[in-house]
Amino acid sequence: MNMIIENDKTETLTERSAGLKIQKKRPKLTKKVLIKYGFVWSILAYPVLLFLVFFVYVNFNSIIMAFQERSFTGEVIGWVGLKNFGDFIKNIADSPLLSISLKNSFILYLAGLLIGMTFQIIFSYFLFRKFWGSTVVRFIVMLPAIISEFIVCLVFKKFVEGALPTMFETLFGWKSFPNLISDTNYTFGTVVFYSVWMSFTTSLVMYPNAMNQIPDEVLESGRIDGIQMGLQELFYMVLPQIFPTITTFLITGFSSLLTSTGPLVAFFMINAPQQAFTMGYYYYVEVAGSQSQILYPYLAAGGLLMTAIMAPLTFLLKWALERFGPSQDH
Amino acid sequence: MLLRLLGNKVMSVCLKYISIALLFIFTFSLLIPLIWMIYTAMKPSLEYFENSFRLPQNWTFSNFLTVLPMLQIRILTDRGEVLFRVWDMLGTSVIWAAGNAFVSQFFTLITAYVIAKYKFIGKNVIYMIGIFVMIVPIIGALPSQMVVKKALGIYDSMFMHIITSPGVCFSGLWFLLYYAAFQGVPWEYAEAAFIDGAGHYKVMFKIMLPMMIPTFSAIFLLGFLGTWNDYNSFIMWLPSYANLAYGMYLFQLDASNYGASMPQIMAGFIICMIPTVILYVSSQKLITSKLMVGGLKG
Repeated sequence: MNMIIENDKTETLTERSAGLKIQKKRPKLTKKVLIKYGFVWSILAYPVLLFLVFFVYVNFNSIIMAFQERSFTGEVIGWVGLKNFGDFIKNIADSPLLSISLKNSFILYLAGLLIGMTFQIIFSYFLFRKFWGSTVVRFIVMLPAIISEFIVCLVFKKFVEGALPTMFETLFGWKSFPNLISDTNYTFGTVVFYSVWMSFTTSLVMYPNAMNQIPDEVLESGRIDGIQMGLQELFYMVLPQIFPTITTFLITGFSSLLTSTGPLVAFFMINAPQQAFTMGYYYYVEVAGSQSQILYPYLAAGGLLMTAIMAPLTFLLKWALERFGPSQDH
Repeated sequence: MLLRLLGNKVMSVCLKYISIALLFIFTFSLLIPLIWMIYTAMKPSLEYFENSFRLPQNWTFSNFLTVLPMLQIRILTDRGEVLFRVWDMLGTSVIWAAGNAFVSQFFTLITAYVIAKYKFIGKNVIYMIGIFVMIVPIIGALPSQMVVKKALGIYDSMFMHIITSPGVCFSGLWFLLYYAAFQGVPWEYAEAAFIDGAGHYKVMFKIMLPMMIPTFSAIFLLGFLGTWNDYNSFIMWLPSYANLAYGMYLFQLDASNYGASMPQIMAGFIICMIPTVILYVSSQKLITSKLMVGGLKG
């Protein structure tokens, strides 16, 4: 008789006439095993409780809320079926605020991806290759994290509002330089610029660290094959090796596309001009800026709709990156 | 075609120097507002009103002295109007940053230890849930969070916020870092301790966790620095409290009501950042050596 035994797995014999089954070995409930499980679950009890309350229950409550109507103070008035979902979909087309918020969220993400990530990887490569001055550059790039990105954000705002027009007037004689934050024609552009500009500070630490993990032999073998040090080495040798790190940033960035507020809260608290709203900021203003809970069911319904679209897309992106991304094999 | 161009030596060298030049321009652009902040803080208010960009003609440190007594905010709470002075806000900052960073990192650390080192029913489910939570975007849960936090008495309670700060401990980049770190620690140390009669708690606290002290310290410091500058939580969840970041945020937003000029605001920013700069500089090597982000598998 041919039997295939693998640890703790149930195997059915391929020859049905034998009619034998290998039973799965379950761990016996000895005192040792009970003590082990007691320890494991005593450690995990609180984290699991927090997960059940702040993830499972919060999201379950959000789903229920989407079908309700609530009063100013949050009492449930009644059940309204799919009305909140219908209102949200209708408002995406009819409400300028919602459509601008959605559009701006995508613009912010694409700017970060196409401009930000491209240059982050190129700059990181040269930091990894330790060109002349790279130590100083590394230190300066870390400054916002050292000082606090919050303070840098406020200083940026004060500089752009207060000093930038005077700087252009002093240096170039340009007298009518606009206020790039309070002038609504430029507000969102400034927000995009700031978001991309600040995104370099974390990336220019993470990517070079990931590149430093690449074995020297791998890069050496590339040079032997004729790959030149520089952007050619970056594309052919380095990028495939750090692709898992890039994947992580791509996936987490994509999944926060509709929740990101950018620097809007720091710049404006809850008083940003409508032209600069993002979807994340819209939700922030509706919850933090109002004592009323009347809109909560409508917001919950909108959130569910967006989650239903973004969640599968995020998994699709993850699958595509793993399936079609470059191989790390040496 | 681009890759063929990169193979061309002349083109490759040109692109290299263009990229480095752009990197220098970016680096210089980071310095401009920071340098402006420093010399504006040492500028008399009158000079600032004449020209907000020029270097000071009369350098002064008086703004640092005059801003400290100004740096106080009034917040309307259930207890009435409460005045927060700079020392009150500093104390709140320390408690908030240290409490949040320690509680969240500690629970993430021990969760990662158990999941990395022990085989038990449900282990893979918990790990996969953690990856799922990291990846799947949940949009629009803020209203529900507000309802739940108010119902549980967490809203407007700093203590409750600190003890519930871990959130989903078996998810997130820090969990993955600890998990990977523990997987690299040989289990033989624990086995030797078990043979000597040590229990699971003793092995965890006396053998395994001490090995993680450098990594834990680095991540704790990052968490501390991040939470030190957290003003968002005070706007959203803790309206009756004010840390230094939130205080500074309100102060600069409403500076004219506090009688503060831009040089004084800049001086206030510099005072606020002194603790974080000292902390970061003294632990810089530890932080940068322990940070490497890997991939998401599963």
